[in-house]
Amino acid sequence: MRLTFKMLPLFVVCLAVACSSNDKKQKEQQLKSALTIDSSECEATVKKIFFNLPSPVEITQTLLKTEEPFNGDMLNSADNLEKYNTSSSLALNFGIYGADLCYCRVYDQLQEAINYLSVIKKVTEKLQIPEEEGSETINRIEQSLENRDSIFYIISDTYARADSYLKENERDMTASLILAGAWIEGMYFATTLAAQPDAKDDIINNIVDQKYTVANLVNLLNTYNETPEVASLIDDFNKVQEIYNSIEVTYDKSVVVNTDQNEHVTSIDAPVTVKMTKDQLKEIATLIKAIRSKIIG
Amino acid sequence: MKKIISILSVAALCLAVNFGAQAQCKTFIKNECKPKLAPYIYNGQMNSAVLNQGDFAELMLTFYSNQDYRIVVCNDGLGDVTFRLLDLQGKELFTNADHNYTDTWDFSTNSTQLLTVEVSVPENNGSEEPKSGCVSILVGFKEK
Repeated sequence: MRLTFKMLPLFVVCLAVACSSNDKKQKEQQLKSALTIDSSECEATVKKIFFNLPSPVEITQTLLKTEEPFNGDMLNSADNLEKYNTSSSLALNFGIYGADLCYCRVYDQLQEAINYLSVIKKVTEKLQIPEEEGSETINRIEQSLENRDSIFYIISDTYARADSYLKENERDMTASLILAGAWIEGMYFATTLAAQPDAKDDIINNIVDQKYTVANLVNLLNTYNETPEVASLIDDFNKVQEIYNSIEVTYDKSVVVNTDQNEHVTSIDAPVTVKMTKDQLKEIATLIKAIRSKIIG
Repeated sequence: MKKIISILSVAALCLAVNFGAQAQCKTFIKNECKPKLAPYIYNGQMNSAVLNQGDFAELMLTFYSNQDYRIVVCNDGLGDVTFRLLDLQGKELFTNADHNYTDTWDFSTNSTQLLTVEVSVPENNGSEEPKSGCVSILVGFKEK
């Protein structure tokens, strides 16, 4: 009986940890803090915070809503795959190749898309993501290459299954690095296109819009700042964020919200004025190119 | 020795509880939540946790002006979970409490913004056993 009571606080701690998060580091921190407080504090309210980043499909759709011609030179060569041997480099390049695949699909470059599918299959294997969670879905893509929309659904599903598998297996950092890789590749496409003399305003506005995503990205990666490879990446992204922070943004306080009860839709009209200088754009482009070079090797 | 075995048993039980809860949560999300995103494309990020009554969750998300979004907040047996959309200043732009605690709503913005989806699980009213369950916030998007 005495042993039972001794075990009870431990059991409560374990339950609290088990029920709150599947992130290993968070668990360790929670376990440490839980061990120093009494059991009544274990019942305190939990606030779980998630940071979401655009998926490879969303980032390419968002950044490439432009009529620029296809430029295969911007893509990461499939031959580079053999260079990636660490979990971090594989995860980051999983994201990069995913964005490359979406870029090819946006421009209906079927052969290129097939090549990138094959690369992604290999990356999932190297990352030890089981076939049913990753590459099995990719087989469906090969059968649906003619349909652009279904490809986007399937690619999203592939990344969703990988994300789910990695988080369930306490590999949240790997899941986050995949998204970071996709974002950096999307930004590389956009900043490369924006550097052209006839760059359209749309693409520049889309780069400005990433101000919010880079903040989310830094917050997400900060969770893993004790890992040296991630810490180095955070330093790089902090520099990008510094430039974004210097961009002048003016919010109009008159936010208008319209809700359509029947359609279950809410529209938010919140005028924002953003002023990004050419120098700021150039600085962002230079940093993005440097980070990408470091990732792709 | 007995004590070590007991502690190891508890640790094994904890792991089993964790994996069991996570697996159950995944099945719940796949069967009950993801289908509600259609025809929007799932952003691929599993934002889920097993929460107790009175707990909160927040999702920080960029809403791009050239996309429409669907938010699905579903829970496994926790009752009327509230979800609100807040801007950076904390101003409430939407609450499902005004719409019969619906678990699905669509959003559109005319300028790109970082918004917060805040989810709160109702407190225990004291007359029932404390409950915990899977809560998931899923995001879908589509081009305007």
